Amino acid sequence: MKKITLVLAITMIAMAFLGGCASSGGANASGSGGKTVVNFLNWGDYIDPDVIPSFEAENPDIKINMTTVDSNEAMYVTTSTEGSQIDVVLPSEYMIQRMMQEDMLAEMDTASMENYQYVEDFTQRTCDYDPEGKYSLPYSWGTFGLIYNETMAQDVDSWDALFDPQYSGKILMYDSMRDSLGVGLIKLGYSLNSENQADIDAAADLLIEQKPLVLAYGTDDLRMSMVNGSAALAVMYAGDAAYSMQDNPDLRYVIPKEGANIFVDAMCILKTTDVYDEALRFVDYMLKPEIAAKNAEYTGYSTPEEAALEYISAEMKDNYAFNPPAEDLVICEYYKHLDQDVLKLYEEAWLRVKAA
Amino acid sequence: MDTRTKALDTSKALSFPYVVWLVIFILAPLVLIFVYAFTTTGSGGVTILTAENIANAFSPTYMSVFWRSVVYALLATGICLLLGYPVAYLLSRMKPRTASIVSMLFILPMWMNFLLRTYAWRALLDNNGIINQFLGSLGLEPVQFLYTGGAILFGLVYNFLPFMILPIYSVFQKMDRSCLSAAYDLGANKWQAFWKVTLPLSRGGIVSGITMVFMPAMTTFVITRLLGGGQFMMYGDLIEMQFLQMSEWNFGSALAVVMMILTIIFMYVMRKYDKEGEGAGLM
Repeated sequence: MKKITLVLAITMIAMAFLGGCASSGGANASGSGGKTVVNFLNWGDYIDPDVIPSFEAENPDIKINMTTVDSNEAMYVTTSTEGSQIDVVLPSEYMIQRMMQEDMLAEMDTASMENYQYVEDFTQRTCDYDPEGKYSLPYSWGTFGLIYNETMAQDVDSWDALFDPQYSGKILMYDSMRDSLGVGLIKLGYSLNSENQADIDAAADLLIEQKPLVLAYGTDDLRMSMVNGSAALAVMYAGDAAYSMQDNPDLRYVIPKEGANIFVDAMCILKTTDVYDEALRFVDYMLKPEIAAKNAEYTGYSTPEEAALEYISAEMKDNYAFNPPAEDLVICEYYKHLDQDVLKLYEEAWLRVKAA
Repeated sequence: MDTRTKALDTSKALSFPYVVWLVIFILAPLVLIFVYAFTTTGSGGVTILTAENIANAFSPTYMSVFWRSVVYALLATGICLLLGYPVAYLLSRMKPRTASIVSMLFILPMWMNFLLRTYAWRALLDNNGIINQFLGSLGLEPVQFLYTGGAILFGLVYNFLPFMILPIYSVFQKMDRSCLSAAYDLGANKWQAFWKVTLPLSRGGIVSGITMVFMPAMTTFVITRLLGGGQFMMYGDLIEMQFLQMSEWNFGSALAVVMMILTIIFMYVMRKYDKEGEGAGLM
């Protein structure tokens, strides 16, 4: 009996200890040899590898500690999990809306930033969820369309191709809830942001019906399969597409005629940060036109800065996926942040697709 | 009596660091999982006690994922046993030097992280990978290996086969050969000797081999995504999805609890078959 009490006591202490670690996590801000650590939560392969070292060389008092995730949902979970110390985060517009609603983001002191001027125009024109750049400053934008291999598929201009049995076993889908259900919703003529259960369920049914034709669901790994010619069609973000097209000249990118998602990824500073000034300096540095151009060239995603375009190669500027004409973007739609109850419908629908 | 208690005391002191480890990293997280599984956050952020999560875990969608995991894990275990048992037997019949070199060859790949090995298989199994290039050079059409159920099964067998071979091998090594001689002396033929002597004596190894393959195969989650292309969701994927994509910690924990309970039942059944208790130490 005594033994059990002892083990229970140690367990309680251990749990208190684990909890304690979580809440004292913020105190490690000045680790790493007197440098201030700024924790940056990024997407995988989404920044030129030279940029952080060059920032650290120019700002010897700051160390950037970068972690990566592969979805907006994971980004939200990671930032909102108690005990994870994140200072700067780079979510897409719908997740920014959610974080703004939940009061997670610190206000950007744009007046003190040298490089805000370069994104001001884009922010006011495009980012209707945060037009003054109060909480988020755009890093990149792009569309979510179709990439196909001309040697295996011809005249693709519609989402219908993804449901065409002649491409059976040659279709790659995106392993992400809203992106995949979004394809179903657009194909059925509904909004990407539908809050109607019948629409969402119909989209899920369509995807389940499509499943036998699908070769795989993936994210970044789809690029390799398209480049080496293992698949004929894939849903892909424009940046990945721009890159794949450089590696394999048979690949073409289209914004399907029914419309597609357009997104903005923007840098935000979290309210919970202890290193606001350092985080702001980092964000400001990322907005420098030379740096923005470097990142855009590296990631293949379009830059929100007009001024950055002059640093970008002509080949890249001519790439349809990287720099689509404005008139093709009219049919594109942003994701909106959905309420928890609606999101639940999406989650259930997506799970039904994945488990099928 | 006195010396015995003393020995017990020393062993107690020696085990103390492990007990602390066990409590912090196994027991405490386990308690947290149970707490999450049986609670939910109500309106206003209040934590409410509930069995709803557990009940939901038994809904048809999730059970279909569960049964898929069971089927893949059973198939993988069966193949591992069929492949591993003869290998372990042959290994035990080799000269000690040869046996140690050969068993080294089995263990060698395990020195590298299984994730890296699985990534390597992606490149090998790809439509334009080495295997298909070889088939192409023989004039054959490329075969779709990657992103199939077969690829997942292959990945499971490949990763867990050593866990089947090693416990069976160690049982064979310890086996008293004179039992076999006795069987032959009493007129048993080879087949009878195997059924009546070798197989029962190696049961302990088989049981621990099955356990050590079935459990990780049942709960695997990365192999299905890398080799199966995210089309064949298994129970591990389901739990991971609840935590990392849907931030449903309560429901994710409930699924984990259900899996643990079913796993414990399985272990209990296996242990009943292992009357000799030889595999017990490994379980």
